[in-house]
Amino acid sequence: MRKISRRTFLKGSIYSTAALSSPFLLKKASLSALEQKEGHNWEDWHRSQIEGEKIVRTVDLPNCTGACAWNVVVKDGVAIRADQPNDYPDDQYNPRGCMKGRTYYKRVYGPDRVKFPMKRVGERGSGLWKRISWDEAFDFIASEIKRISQKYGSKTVWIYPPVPATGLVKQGAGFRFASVNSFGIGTFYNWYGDLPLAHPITWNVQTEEHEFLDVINTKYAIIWGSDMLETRKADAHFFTDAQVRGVKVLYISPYYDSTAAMSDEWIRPRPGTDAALAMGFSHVIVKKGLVKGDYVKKTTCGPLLVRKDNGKYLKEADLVSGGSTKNFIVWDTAIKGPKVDEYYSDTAALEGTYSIITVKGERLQCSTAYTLLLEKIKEYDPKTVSEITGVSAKDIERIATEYGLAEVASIWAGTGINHWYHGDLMGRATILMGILTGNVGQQGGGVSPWAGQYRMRLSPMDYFFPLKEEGKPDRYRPIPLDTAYVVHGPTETMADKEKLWRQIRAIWPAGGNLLGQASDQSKFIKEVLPKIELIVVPEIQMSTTAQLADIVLPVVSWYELPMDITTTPTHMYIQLVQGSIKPLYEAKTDLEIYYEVCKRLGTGDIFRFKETEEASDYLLKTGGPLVKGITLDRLKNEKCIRVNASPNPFAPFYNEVRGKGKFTTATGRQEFYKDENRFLEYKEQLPVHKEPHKATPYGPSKEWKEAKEERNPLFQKYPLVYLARHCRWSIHSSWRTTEALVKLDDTGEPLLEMNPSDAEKRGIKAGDWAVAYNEFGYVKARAKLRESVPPGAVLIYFGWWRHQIQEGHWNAPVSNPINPIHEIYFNPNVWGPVSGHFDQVCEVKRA
Amino acid sequence: MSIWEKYYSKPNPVYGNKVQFGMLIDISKCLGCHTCSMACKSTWTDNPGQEDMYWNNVNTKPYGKYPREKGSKDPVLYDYKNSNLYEDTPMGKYPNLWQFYLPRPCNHCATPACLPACPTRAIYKRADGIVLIDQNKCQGYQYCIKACPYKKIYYNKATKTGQKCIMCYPLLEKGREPQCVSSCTGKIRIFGDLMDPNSTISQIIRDPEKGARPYRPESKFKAVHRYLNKGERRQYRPDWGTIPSIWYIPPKNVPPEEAEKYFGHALKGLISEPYTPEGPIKFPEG
Repeated sequence: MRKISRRTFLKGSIYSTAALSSPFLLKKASLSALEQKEGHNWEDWHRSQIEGEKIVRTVDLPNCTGACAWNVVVKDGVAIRADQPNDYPDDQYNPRGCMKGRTYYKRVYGPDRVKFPMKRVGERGSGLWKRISWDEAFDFIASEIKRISQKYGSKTVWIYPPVPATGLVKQGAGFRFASVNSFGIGTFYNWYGDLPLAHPITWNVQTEEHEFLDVINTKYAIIWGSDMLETRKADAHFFTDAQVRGVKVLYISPYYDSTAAMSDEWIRPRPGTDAALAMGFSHVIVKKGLVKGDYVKKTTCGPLLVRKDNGKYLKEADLVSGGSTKNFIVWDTAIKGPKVDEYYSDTAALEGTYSIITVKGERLQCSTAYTLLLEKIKEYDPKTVSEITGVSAKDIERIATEYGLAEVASIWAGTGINHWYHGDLMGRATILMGILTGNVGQQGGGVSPWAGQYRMRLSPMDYFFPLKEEGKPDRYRPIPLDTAYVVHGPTETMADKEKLWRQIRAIWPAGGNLLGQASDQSKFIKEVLPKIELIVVPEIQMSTTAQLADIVLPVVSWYELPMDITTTPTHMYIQLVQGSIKPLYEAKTDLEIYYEVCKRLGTGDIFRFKETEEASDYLLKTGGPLVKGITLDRLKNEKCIRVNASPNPFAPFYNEVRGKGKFTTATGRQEFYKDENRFLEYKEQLPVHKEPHKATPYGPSKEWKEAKEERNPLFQKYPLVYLARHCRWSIHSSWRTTEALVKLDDTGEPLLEMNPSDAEKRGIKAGDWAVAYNEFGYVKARAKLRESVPPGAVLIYFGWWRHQIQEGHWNAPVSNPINPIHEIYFNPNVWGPVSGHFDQVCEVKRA
Repeated sequence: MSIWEKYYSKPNPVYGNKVQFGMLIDISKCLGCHTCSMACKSTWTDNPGQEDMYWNNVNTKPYGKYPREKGSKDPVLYDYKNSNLYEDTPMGKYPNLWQFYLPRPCNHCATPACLPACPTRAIYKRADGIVLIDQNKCQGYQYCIKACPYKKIYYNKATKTGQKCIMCYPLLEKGREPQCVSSCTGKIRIFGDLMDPNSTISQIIRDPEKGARPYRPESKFKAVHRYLNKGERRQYRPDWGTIPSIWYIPPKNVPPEEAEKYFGHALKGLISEPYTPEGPIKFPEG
């Protein structure tokens, strides 16, 4: 009986579903071949393995910019696996998700889940804990926060909020929590080193990048310092697809990695010389007449006049009494005289030096910014650039020509050229290429620096910083303190030290492995932590941060999270996150934890939200024009909706470069010339190449002419560039302990990777224990030797947890001095110290 | 095309199947992400005894190998641990470095070597060309493991049986593609019936120019755009003579004579010796 009914069922199911919707054109023969034959009953066992009682479409929330959807299959109340839904409205985005999303269920049920609230009973990091109840935990936290607030002020309680877009409700709640209690709040985007400061410098925006779908429009792609294949798994196929269509993909990186193996051409510059390379390209672009003069004239600061005496832009106030200091001046070719600049004007002179009579009757020599740029670019002839970068002059000429001649060419950069002390200069130099060739603002063009899931595709203001009274502008706000200063201490050059610096006393990392992943690890642990009186860590797993905490609170995993909303810079969709299983152990949502603590601090009513659904709804309702018309009901129904942004595929500055609205910079134009005092003081008013701050054998932080005559004493002691970088097996420290993946990561342990020639000099053989060290700290690991690492560099794939490292820490040799240019303004996560994680040196010896 | 005519244009001469499911994999586009391996593993081999069993695995060639011989000539004693050793270790000297990722599921060969090796007749080829081991009949003699030149049968110490890729037949029966295909983020795999002259896969394999166009599923099935490279379609180690049903587009950034060692042309002469160079790095045993 059973057999017959089963066969009938199968037959029915094949014909009704497969025949109508088969991918591979199932003809009759194929269909009947799939019919179950007599005698192999065991096959039913596998059939039973795929079934579950429900499938929930949700999104994983790591900070990888993927925001990939998964169909979580639940069987007997247990999430047994995650399948690929392949349901993005634009099919180019399908499938989306890598082996990490596939194995997330291993983390949900992993052995290192935090199961109940715990209080430290031994020394910090000793691993001695006492289980406590939630009420005890909440009461203790609230009383400690009260004590610290009374003694040092509430702003010394410091919330560290990692990238909010990963889960707007749960991550954003950290901001709300800090706001309503007037706590201090840290920064993430700049301190991670992910903020491309060149963007606020050039365009006065946080960051603007093309969505990955836009690769389909490009005719020439340069991937610059971003191992797309390893670190942008969900979107890397856009580049390999482009190759199939005949688009050339060029890769610039000192390291031979997956992306180098895939690309049509791989260029290996000396680490940290990317700005020189970009300036060399620009030099050739200018020399060969490939500059789009009309574009530069209409949309950039090129035609604006700059005073020769002080390097400042000439203003209307300089010319006429009562003139505005906000109006810039161009030399108008129609009236043959100076004129207040109008955006997109056709009659401004792009080149030239002019004699201008000021309001005081003085004669001033003024050049257009473009004229000054041309002078600067002259220094970067291919021969000199070849000397700096090690890339041959012939290649520089050829690549620049290819880029300049392409109908539309794009640059896809990454942290590789941003995690540097002078990352802003590298960014500005690459953007300059895009500006000169008119590629910025074009679909298939632009300069997109991919790093970090910072991008919220709705306005979170009301949720993050609640209004004090409906209808009035006053808001509850946290008091920012840049994470860079928390670790580094204050600097003399910081913007508004009085207001922005204080010694913090309590740390609440809101969903990030702060102590495990922090740069300046040695300093943080040795100097900062002893001053901290309370560390509260809500965590899923016993991360390094949880191991060093005073209180650990169990938080629900993404599968247990009832509801959330997520967005990313890589695509334009806003997506619904839905729970598929009940909370495990005693886990609670971040939102509920904040609410309960607020209640005890007397701010529960202001914090208001306890249920994630209510908060999701609120976020969408107050989210502004990008999500207009996207209600929670609609999102529940459709799961994934494109936000209101054009063009499609999205390309930033599309309207601006077409004369529809100007840029939001002071000049209203794209600013490759900056005239703030500090830019002038450091001679960075124009993009230049400066040698790395540490990782150079030449004069550090100096321009080439001077630098090449000097020797860096630090580098003589520590002659290897130290690079702790992302790998394919983890998203930062997430998944780093997932055994299923660790097993696939070569030998399954941290490895110090070197060029065989460097290893030989130091008597290190593959598999030997080796130590990479400098004055700040060290890390001990086995050596792996491969040609992929250039001579003079050491590479370690990062993310390993405290207990996985033999000795030291992979971030211990890393320290980040703060670049004063990054301190001209302070706008959390928009303008602030950008860490130069890759600008590091070390020496390696056999352990 | 004679291989095609001989094995795919008429019923299988030995097993009579009129359908042969297979795949085409574009190596140049492989991201090396192992999503296929983990999609497979999380669906089928996440049980006791299957800890180091990857029905589909990915290696960085030329040095990566799974399983590794580790001094033994007997496949039963091979080492299945650390399946991804020598990850991203290229061959050559700068600037002439090369490596490629090689994803390998079971080949579900037209003339499988494992099947006739089984003393208990537990291995059979279904009417759709999928080769399976009947878990009820298998007695764990492991002759199939020795016979399969691709080493794609694994011994499960918990169940004491041989186990292998099942080409996700339960999903096929529901009209879904195999897990390694539907979840391939690099979009490098195409699945279908090799013996159907009109199927996408058989058309794309027979016409190497066709791959440049996006693969549009002919139906409403949730399949995705796929652009494959042009160029010859090959099998991995066709010289072993089992007529594998997994086809590849060999990597383009690898010296052609090196690619030839892996994806030789079955009709252009056989490669005599298995080719896996010794890795440059030795790790302590154990």
